[in-house]
Amino acid sequence: MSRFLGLARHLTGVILFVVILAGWWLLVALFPIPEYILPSPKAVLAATFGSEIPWVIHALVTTAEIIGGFVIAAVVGVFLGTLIAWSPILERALIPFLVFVNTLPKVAVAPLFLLWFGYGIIPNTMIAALIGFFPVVINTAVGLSQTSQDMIDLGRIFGATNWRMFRKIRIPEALPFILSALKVSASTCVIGAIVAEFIASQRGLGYVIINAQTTLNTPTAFAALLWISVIGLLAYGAIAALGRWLAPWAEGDRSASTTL
Amino acid sequence: MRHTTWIKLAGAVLAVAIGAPAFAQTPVKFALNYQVNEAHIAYWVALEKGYYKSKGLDVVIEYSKGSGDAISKADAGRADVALADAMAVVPALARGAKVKIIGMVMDKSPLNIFVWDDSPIKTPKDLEGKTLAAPPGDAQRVLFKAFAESVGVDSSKVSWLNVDPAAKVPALVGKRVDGVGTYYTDLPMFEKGMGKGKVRSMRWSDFNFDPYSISIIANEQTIRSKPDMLKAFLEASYMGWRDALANMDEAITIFKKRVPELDQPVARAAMPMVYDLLASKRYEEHGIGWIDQQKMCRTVNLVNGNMDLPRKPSCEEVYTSALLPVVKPVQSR
Repeated sequence: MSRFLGLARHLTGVILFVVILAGWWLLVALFPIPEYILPSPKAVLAATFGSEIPWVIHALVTTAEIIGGFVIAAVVGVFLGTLIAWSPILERALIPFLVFVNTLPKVAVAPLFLLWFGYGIIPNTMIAALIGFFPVVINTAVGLSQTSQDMIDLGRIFGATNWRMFRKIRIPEALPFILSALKVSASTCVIGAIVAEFIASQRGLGYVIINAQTTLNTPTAFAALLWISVIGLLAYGAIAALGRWLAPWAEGDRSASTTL
Repeated sequence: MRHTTWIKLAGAVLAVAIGAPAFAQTPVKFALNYQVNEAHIAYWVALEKGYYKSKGLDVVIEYSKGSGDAISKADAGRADVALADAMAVVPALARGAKVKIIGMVMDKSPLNIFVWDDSPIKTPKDLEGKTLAAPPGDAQRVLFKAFAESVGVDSSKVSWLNVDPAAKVPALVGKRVDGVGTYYTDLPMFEKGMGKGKVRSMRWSDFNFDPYSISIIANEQTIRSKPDMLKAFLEASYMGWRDALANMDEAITIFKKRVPELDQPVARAAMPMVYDLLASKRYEEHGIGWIDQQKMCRTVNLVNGNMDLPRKPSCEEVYTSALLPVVKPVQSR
């Protein structure tokens, strides 16, 4: 029974996609829209599975940048968030600086990265990480400071040291927040990788998009977007699965920033 | 007391009626091909000297994100007339856009590659085995294979890095690439980042590779329904070019006044290069902006042969000379 319910839950999402697809197909079939403004679903599918673009190589490059960026963002984000939750002094020192770094338009920063670090997967990974780390920091800090008083009292009664308190009580309680942030971060790392590729690249799905756009090859651009969204969905799904494995007790998502 | 108010009112209405223009000004939206740069100076000269106004046109200039963007605007009617590279017009037509070139701007090709002055790259042949950077869809990028073939270079041995226009100069300054493909008129901008005298250019026109580039375009609907407006626009614009070419200092003063956000020293340094691309025997003979059919057909064939397009537009459908005025450059040289 629960298997069927699980399937049904996914079905509603699929139905929405199907409805949008049908509407799109109808629009293009009924109105004389030039292909470079809105291509038909058929043209996009032909481009997606066509041999014009070596999709696998480009997808692998972008995926490497996304995964690399995400791992860095997650590790650095949790580390900084923990520092902030651990010490009010560090919190006052770090928060303004991190907000500043987060608000820098990465599109403006990327040419500087090219100058300092060159081009390729590594600099693009760094830019993706730069864009994706902030939600993790904030949510980790908030999650670690939201521990319920009851649990803290319980820990004290059993004579737990600060460190044990942290490991056994604070971190597990913070996990729903952290996982929520990781979902956001996974998506923003996708955006970050693509933005980095727009600035300088020789391979990748972002590279395919701008190349296609400049010759008004919209079917290929749409196809690249399709591949990107598949990667994004897989990343999100992976984090969600990780969440269910690590913190199955979390009923819904609690988050200090945004929830997807 | 009351009828003095009426007299005043009547007087005011009369004054407005007399002062009103004899004809209404037609609004014209003109989309440049990019952000404002030195190659756009003439249009502000035309605005400042009232050339557009005297022909009944109320021209508003707006910027674009590249030739592709400008072509989309013209095609969709979001701009009445636009600037675009001829080599971007051909693929746009192939993909369903309905625009035409109605006049040229540059007569000589600005296609070029910049390298450091101490670079081992001295001839096109030296490019083999090297890495160059250019924005995607950039003219140098698209036509490199054709250029390479014409000078006996194996283009498959040259690799390209896609860069955002903002990253062109950093890419070369940081020596991340061996050269950058970009218009020759960008020289002052590169010298600013690399140092005066540190930039060497490889101008493709020096190797007899000289297709058409920046041109004025409009969509077919506008050409059919408002030919007089377009003729007037072209004439006023070329009068702007005529004056700018004849008197650079005056043009630069106007430019500085009208576009204060532009990097003036860089624009000023680039001006003689822009002028060099417009000074031609063809223009002296036939008028600024004149379209040479053979050169246009060579340009179209070049693009058709080097890009993977769904169809190959014919030379005739790319342009029309029917709206061209004859505005000759000032002869005093």
